[in-house]
Amino acid sequence: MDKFLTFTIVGLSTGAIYAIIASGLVLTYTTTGIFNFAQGAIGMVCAFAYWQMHFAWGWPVWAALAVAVLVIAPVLGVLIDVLVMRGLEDTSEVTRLVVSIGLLVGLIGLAIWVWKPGVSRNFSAFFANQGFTLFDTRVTGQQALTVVVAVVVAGALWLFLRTTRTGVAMRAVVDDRSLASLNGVRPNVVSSLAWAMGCTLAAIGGILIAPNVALDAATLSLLIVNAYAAAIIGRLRSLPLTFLGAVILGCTEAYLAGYLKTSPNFAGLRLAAPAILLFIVLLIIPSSRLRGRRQSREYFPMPTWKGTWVFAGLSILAGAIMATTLSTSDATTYAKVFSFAIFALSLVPLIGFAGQISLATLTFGAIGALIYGHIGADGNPLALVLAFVVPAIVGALIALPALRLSGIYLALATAAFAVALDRWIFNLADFDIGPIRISMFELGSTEVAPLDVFGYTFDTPARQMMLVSVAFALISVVVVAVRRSRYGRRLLAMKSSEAACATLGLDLVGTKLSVFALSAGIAGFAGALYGMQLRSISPQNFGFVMGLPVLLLAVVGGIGAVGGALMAGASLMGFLPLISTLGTFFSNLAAVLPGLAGIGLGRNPNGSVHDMREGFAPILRYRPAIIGLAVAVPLFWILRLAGFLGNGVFYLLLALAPIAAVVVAGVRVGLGDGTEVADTPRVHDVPLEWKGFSVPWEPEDVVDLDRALGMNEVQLHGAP
Amino acid sequence: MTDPTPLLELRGIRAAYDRIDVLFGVDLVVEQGSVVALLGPNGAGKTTLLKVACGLMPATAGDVLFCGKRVNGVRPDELARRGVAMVPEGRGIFPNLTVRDNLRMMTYTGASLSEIEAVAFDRFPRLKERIRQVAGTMSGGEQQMLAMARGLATDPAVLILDELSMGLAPIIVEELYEIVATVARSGVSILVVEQFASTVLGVADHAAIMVHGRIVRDGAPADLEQELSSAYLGNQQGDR
Repeated sequence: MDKFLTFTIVGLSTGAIYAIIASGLVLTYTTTGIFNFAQGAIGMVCAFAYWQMHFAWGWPVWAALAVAVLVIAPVLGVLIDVLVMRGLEDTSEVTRLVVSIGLLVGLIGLAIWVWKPGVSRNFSAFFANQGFTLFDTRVTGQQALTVVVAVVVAGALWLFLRTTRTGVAMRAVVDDRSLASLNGVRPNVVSSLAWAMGCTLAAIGGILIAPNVALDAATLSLLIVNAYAAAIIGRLRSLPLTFLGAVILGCTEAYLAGYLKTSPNFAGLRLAAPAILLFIVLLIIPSSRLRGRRQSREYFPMPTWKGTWVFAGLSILAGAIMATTLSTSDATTYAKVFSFAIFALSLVPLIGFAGQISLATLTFGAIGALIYGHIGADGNPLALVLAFVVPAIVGALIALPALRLSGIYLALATAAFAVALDRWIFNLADFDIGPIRISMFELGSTEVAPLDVFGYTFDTPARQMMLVSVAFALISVVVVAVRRSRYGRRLLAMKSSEAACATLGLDLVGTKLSVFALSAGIAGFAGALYGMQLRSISPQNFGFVMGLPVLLLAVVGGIGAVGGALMAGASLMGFLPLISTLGTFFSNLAAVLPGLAGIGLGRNPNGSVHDMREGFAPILRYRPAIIGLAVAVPLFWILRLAGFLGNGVFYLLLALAPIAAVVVAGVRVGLGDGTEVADTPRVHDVPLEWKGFSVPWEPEDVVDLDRALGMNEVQLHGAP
Repeated sequence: MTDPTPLLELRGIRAAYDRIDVLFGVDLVVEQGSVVALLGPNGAGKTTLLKVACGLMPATAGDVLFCGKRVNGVRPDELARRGVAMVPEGRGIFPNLTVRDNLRMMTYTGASLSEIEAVAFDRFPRLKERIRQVAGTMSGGEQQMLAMARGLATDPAVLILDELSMGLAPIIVEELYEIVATVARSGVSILVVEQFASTVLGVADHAAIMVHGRIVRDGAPADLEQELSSAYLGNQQGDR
């Protein structure tokens, strides 16, 4: 009984902290409609700031607390609102989620930059040597404090939201922003206030929990999973149920710690408990209604076959150039560009076409890598097929119960799955399910053999570079084929309006399930290729936090196009490692950059590939530029292979050549000297009547529109 | 109509979504204490004009004058506090808030909650029974009553009503327009937009027909009633 009471008290105090963080989450979600994945990270930064002021600089507790909770957190909240979240109107759920994931990644990068990891930082409990005895059980001062703070927070929030005008206005702004302003509310002020309050709650939670867990950027940031489990019990709306959920969660963790046998197989279960609980809760909450039309200012044009073949060819060319020119160590580093591009590619059908979100890409990759590592120990290519099939089946199994959920809930379910595997299953020793022996990472790392096709072994980095770049090109073609098929049209339709699709007789569950399986399969395949490059894989290679930048950069690159995937791989495994070699400052910067890119997404939700394609468009209209490039690139390559050029100059020339071509083509096309591939009618990538709705309206479109309608010219303001 | 300065005046308003013009120089005057009905078919630009009038949308050209002062570019919340009350198209309520919280939202314009409730429940006694109900769960007519109550409760200078009848049974529409008539008699100026005319013309002092972003007819309601059908069929002059 004593033991039970002790662990109940531990559970209640942990639950109280989860409740504080989760209530901040509910507050920002109900008032701004943004699902803040960075809530834990904001708490983490404030906990570090508190540590710095109190423990490092020796400020008194009250001063450090006041600055951290009442100054830093609210200011951070207002900054997030003004600089980041304001730009997110009319963007999709994916974009909003990715922006907050960008914030999470950026804040972790920033914290690691300022507070070097690996240093032991003492963060002692509040009222460390005080406490009292309750029914023969010792209650520490810290435990009592957390419960009191949670109760105060709960009461204050309830009063604020129910009885004050500002509280009502916060809820009103979510309902209808413009109507609220017609009532005399300044929506911007209200949402800034909501963010300030949400961040303050995160800060209180972060500072209170820091003594219980390590002061570590990733650990504290991932408390978000625990907070989400609590918030989902409150269905992201009800604060009382959220508090209840937090207490259930805290107690579950505490009892698992107290009563579970101390076997290594169960050590991870306790860490994974919140994720598992989150998954279970997601399964039992009632499914949401089918949503109708969702309009956003995001638009991804249909890829053409010609463009796709050129893209696939250029990808293989890039692989070949790198394979023949890079040193062994460089090739090892940069070959990962293509394996990560395939990871990103797995998200294109899922997110870009079907509008479903998965945060478990690398987890499926890990499954693929394990399958290939264990079964394909001799490099058997058939194992690669299994590395596609098995993750696809697992993906379908995971998605099946989660599919009646949509959008954000599905994303959370995949996050829970990823965290549970990451914290628990991957760290298990070999075990048997019936007659089948399942091997994980063998409690450390697992060897992965290079692929062997009819005696030809892909054992050098250069050969792997070729293998993976060809694989990327082929899968790109497959993904484009999916996009252009009847099935792809179905995915896009589902993304636009699930309700409309259901009324047309489309099987939503089957469609979602298949695209989820396809995506998991591609990710598993990428995992196997990535495993080959690493040679020895461990759970750390496929961690949940590692996977976030992949999603982030895939969306930043342009989630609706295969080019965006290559861009994601190139920036994550090419550009960032490259600038990291420039010095400590740049390697720190490299950790923050993906986050910044994600945060900036609201400005350009169509992805940067879209802009690049627009930027390079003049080349396609000026034939000499194409010819020039087709001559220059092989020439540079030959010069490099013959030893006349170093790698530095060679890659600089490669980068400058297309830019020069764009400049020249731009000037020539502008002058209209007659050599351009001109006089072709303007090609519209969308039906004319969509102009101004799905894509920006250009003044020149008027002429085409008038022509199509057989009308005289309309005078538009702004047009000449 | 003793005051020579019109309460709300729109002069040569042009407006555009992106680069597509929808209003081509619209003039409209709401005199002190009058009811102006703006009629027209779908897509004529009526709602856009109202949005410009209450500050939700910028005009690309022309002037919005409120009590003789130019208010172009004034934020909608500021205009609301100065006395422009708008009941937008659809249901102008916050569906997830209770009736009381919906009314409480009007306190931003300066009145106290008890004053607002007194006015609202006097005009719409049914709302008092629903005070704790979540607004989105009420019937369409009740929701529209709440929206009007919200608009009226602060004693605005001008009340702008956008398609009050949308999605409501004819009998409820008539009931609502009786209330509009009462409100008008109490001296509030009203600008009301409708697609279907007969009910609203009974209440209005002045009416205008808008087609394709232009006012094509303007005058006393009785005169306009004859011309409405032709306006809707789109064979007006000055209309392509």
